[in-house]
Amino acid sequence: MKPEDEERPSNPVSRGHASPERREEHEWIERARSGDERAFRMLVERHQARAYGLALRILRNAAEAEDAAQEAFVRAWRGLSEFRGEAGFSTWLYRIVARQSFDRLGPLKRRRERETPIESVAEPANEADDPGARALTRRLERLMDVLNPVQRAAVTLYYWGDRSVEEVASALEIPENTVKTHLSRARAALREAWRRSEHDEPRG
Amino acid sequence: MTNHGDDWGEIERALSWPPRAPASFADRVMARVADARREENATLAVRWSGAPALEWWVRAAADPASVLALSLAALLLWRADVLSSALQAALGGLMSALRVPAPAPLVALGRAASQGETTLALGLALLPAVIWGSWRLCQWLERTSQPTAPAARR
Repeated sequence: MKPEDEERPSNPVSRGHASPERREEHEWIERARSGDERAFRMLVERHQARAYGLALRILRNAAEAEDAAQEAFVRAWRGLSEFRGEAGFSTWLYRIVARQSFDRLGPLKRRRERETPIESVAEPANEADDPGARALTRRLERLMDVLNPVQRAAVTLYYWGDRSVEEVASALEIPENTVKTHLSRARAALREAWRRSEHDEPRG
Repeated sequence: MTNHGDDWGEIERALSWPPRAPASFADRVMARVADARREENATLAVRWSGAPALEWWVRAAADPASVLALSLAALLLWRADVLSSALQAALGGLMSALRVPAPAPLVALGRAASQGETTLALGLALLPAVIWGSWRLCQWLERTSQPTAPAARR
């Protein structure tokens, strides 16, 4: 399990020990700020899966998640001049995605009958050819219904790309202790649901 | 039954895989960015064309309604005695034509209007109404001189 008190620099680029990937991203951000759409496209391509995935986990509706994630990118484009680099770009972007998604939850609940089942869209990115991985993901997505939207968002951000509690808190704009509580409850609920599902359906 | 550690290992593995973004997701984002950019440029153009280049008091002074209102107000103050006499004469003429006695308040007002201070006070009291009336008159003239409204910019 990931240690929850993991601390990482909030802005490695400014501290001078950024990874090549971060440096490259920093360059794209600077170019995009000056109006370079190609550079912004690079940022979109790098973060699209996770931005969409976060929206999908919160909203549980593919069409709405795609729209929310796209709108978040457009807002990020418009707000690039306000991005100070105090948090990482992805943390800043996920904050916009989370806001967009949470704002849509209420209206979406009122028209749930048009929901697309999430199993038809949640494909694992890296192991798409592995039927076992695909089945595992589908099973997990079904179990995600036991969590509330904030818990789903916290779990999603925390287990993608080694995000710290601090970063999850920053992205979701909630206190770190609240994130820890959500993570702890989400883990317990997922474990319980996972065990229950083992009795109800065959593994793999 | 598997133990809890194994359960969590599997769950964590599944949690670590973000879903694939839909096909052409980036293309659609960039199309929306281009739309947003065009919209922003159009808004800027509208704002720029309508941007006040001069201070408000210069624009207010240059407004035809203000010019008309101030001219009328100046005329009222400058020739108040003449206007008052003309008004009294017109009122007297009207009353005699109708063969009715002039109402007492009007007679008193007519007498008072012949005094300088009363004229000034009346002029100042009427000034806002004159300015407002001039402004409305000017607006009406503008509307009637422009038969069709300009199309809204998109």
